[in-house]
Amino acid sequence: MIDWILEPLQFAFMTRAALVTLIAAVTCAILSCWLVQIGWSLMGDAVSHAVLPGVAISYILGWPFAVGAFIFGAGAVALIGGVRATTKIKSDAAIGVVFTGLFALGLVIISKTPSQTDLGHILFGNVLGVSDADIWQVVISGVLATAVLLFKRRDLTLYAFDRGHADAIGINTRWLSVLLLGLLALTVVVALQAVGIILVVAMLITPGVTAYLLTKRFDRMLWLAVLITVIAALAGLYASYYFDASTGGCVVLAQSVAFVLAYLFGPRGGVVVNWVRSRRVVVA
Amino acid sequence: MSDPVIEVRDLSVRYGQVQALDEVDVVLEPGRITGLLGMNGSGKSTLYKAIMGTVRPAAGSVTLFSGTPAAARGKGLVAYMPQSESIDWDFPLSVHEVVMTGRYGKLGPSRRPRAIDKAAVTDALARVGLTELAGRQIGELSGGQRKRVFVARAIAQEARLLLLDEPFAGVDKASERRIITLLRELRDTGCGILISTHDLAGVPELCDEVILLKNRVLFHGHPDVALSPENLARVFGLEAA
Repeated sequence: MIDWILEPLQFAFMTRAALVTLIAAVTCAILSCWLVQIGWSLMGDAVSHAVLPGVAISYILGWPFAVGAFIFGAGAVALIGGVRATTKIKSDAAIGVVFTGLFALGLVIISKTPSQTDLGHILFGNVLGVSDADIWQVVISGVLATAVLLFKRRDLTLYAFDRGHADAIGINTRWLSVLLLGLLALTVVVALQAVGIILVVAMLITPGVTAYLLTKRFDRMLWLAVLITVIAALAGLYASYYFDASTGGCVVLAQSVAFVLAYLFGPRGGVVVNWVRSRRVVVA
Repeated sequence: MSDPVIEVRDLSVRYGQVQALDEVDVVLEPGRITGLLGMNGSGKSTLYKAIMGTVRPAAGSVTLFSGTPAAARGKGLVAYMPQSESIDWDFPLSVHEVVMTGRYGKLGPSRRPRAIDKAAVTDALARVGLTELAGRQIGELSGGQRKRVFVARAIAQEARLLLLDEPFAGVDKASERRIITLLRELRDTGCGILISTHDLAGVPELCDEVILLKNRVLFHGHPDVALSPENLARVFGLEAA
């Protein structure tokens, strides 16, 4: 058993992969608690796709990928806000039109650039091949995003719950929304390395909704989301090593399994639990 | 007489082509409960937003406690009680946690509560009779108890102006009486209280004065006069009545 656990860690690429995946998973899990409560899950999807041209341009210019990704992630948020504010287009359509456009721009840039940039790695992640420079970007961005989120967690929760009250007591809610979206862009940059553009959104939704099914307290929801995501990330990493399967895929799949378990057996409206309760009532 | 709680002068607010408020003048004194009556679309919510500073007026001014609305909000003088429908009652927060948000304006940037804040929340919960339910998730309360959570939050906040939006919708009679008693106690300590409602039944009993709103102020004065058939016909647009 011990050997089974230690064996993959003999390889530097596996310990790096574990580090990147865990940091990405924890940052995403914390952020996801607010995203799912505010109803911004789609924004996670949008920002993650919209960073593609930023990543491509970073590779071409030799910048750290985080810089280009952050610029385009934040730019997508600003564009979506701009379209919503200046037209009568509905929110989901505004999100859709902006992020698909930027994603397509990224595809075109990559297809016309003779470089070693591998589209597959960006789309689906390449956590087994991360470089030292990549790791530093992930560590710095992840720790920064997590620290700010936890420091401002009470304000963010109030913003998610009752924006009117936050306004009434003089809290700058506009600034809070900008902060949260900025941290979303930063977090996407982190998670990109671990699971790729396509699956980032899973890491930004699944831990939050899973924890939501398990508790009635937001503080506990944060800790549960982190705990669940760490277990799922480790399970996914080992599964990917022993079954030689996609790492990002395994990690997200493990999170999905956690969600299904919470859905079936969670104390807060778990399907099986409710069924048992309703039977008890009938018997009584 | 002390400074007015609210002083709205020549306020006009437009949404595109729609004139939501048209040259509205409202002055509220401290220690008064004022009913704000009007149909849906009469500008009640817009007036609240203008007082809260979340909508930009086309013309006119809003003064709170002889200063800017932003200054009053920054000092925690303004409490807003939202309509029940605008709240996500499944949100994973306890009664105690929601009342604690009333203290946030007095706390540092991370909003970590001090002993004095916890004591204020405990007191506020006792005053509204929710001590036993402090640990409940907010969705596990009755309609009247839910409203009292927000009254407790305003008390914990030590607000001097309370803006209430349909506070008696979905509230049983016993809870309604209890809330009215609480609001009177707050009034008697000098709070200004503005209550928007389209439920006329409790108005004469509850309010010291009434504003009839139909995008303009049609009337501002004694409740008995406000509720005369002629005035009600004007504000609710029952031309035939």
